[in-house]
Amino acid sequence: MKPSGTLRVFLRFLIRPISLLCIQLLFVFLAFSAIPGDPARNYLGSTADEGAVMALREKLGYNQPVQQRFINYASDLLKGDLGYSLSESASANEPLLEGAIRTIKLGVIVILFALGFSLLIGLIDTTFPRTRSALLRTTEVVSTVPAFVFALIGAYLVLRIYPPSIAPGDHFMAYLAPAISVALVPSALLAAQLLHSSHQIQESDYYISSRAFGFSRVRSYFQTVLPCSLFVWLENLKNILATVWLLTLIAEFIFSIKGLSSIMVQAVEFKDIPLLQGFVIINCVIFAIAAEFIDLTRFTFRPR
Amino acid sequence: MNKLNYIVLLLVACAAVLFLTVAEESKSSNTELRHAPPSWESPLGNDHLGRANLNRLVWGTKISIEMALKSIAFSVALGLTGGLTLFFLHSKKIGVLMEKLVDAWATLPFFPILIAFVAIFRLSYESYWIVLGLLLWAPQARLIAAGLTEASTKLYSLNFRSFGLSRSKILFYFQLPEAVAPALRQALIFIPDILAADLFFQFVGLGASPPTPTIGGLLKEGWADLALAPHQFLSTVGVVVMIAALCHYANSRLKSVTS
Repeated sequence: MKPSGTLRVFLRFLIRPISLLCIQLLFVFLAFSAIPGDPARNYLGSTADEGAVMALREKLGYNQPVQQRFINYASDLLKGDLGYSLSESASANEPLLEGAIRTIKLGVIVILFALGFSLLIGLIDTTFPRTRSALLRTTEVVSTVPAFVFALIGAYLVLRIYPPSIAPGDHFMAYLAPAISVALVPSALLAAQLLHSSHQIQESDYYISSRAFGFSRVRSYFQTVLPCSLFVWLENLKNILATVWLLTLIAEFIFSIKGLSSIMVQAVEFKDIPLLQGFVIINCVIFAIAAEFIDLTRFTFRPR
Repeated sequence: MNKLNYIVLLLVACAAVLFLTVAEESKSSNTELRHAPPSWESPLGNDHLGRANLNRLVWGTKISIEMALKSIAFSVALGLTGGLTLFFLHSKKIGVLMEKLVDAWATLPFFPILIAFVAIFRLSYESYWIVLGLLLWAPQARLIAAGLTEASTKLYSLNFRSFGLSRSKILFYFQLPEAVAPALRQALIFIPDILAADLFFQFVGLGASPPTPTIGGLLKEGWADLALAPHQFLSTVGVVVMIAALCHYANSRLKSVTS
């Protein structure tokens, strides 16, 4: 039986990212297999007893041939096992998933803030046409400045307002101040794109017709301009995902949030290669899911 | 030449004069001058160890820009090789497979992979450009392959063929320059990202070891001392903003020249 049209489109959307993710996970395995030296020896140190090194090597499966290790790696991933953390002496799943949840929360707030802010700029631009040129120029200038510069300045200002003694809790609102402090450049990037595309649409016949029918500027904006700009707007969001991710990790460092960045530092500090591998895998998965989610949203709201 | 060109020329000339006049990196510290404000002797003040900020900023910029230029040169060279290979093989099964591999490489999360590579291969700061080049080549390859495919269908390619020009001549004299220009422009935009990577390395503890100054290191140091000596952070920010603006300017100039 052939799948229906919608299902076929959905499957096509699903197959591509899954195949890309599989290739990426293969790259990760190959990179971590090419590590010079012995990971068990690296972790235990050069003065460690040979027996202890052998035991750890066996525990991690490094004594097996590469093809067997790959089969174990693939089957573990399918079972949702991200490996064994040497520094935690336990499965890497718990710290990685806990860290990932915190990082995702922070990242989602950055994205939501950037989307809301750019929407507000778009609305001001439509409601007050005199501000059009100034708004466009400002957003363009801000978006050419490297994102981390404003992130550092924003974080400094936020830390001045909220003293660092107030440790962030794990509730959603505790991430708001760190997220807002780094969200300026993504907001400007999205706003600049939204303004460009909405200015083009506002010159089109159907916008002029809707205004001639007596629709207010705000109503025309929400009914005609925004749905047509959404496709480009979300495409731009996908392009700035890497920047948002970097800013999220920088915010974690500055505000001492125990997200994925602290796991990365722990893995680097203790030479915990399996944890580092888990960190890279979880990053690949989050990126693939985020990009796919944006793509699906983009095509769902695509105007015809 | 418009005003903007003069400003850019002035900036480049100032940078050249600074690079030439600050011939040696100052490593000596003077605790009496800790966080000293800007003065005639030290126009950008002194850092937490009493070293002249201007000297460290010039040297830091030199080191970071050198790494960024090496990275983009390496990535463009790899991208060119990859792009040509994709273009020649695009109609074959192996070409389709290669396209998938390049796509997967290009969509890898850049910063986490970068940190992991540097950590697992225990690379020194001087060799970070290799990892950066290896990570950045795939988008360039895709751009060059797409550019070559588009150029090969253009009317001028068909006309030159009918005039009797060989495929290789058309490729190297006309199609390749057209396809490489967008990749070069994209590479210029990567320079601020490479500076961001430098800052990121500093946070993770993998950056250049002290006392070697880099833009990322200076930003982190300046940020930590922002309340005591804002001039240190602000001067580094000024340099970063200027570099980013120059990259955007070069990008737009290259666009207008090649179009």
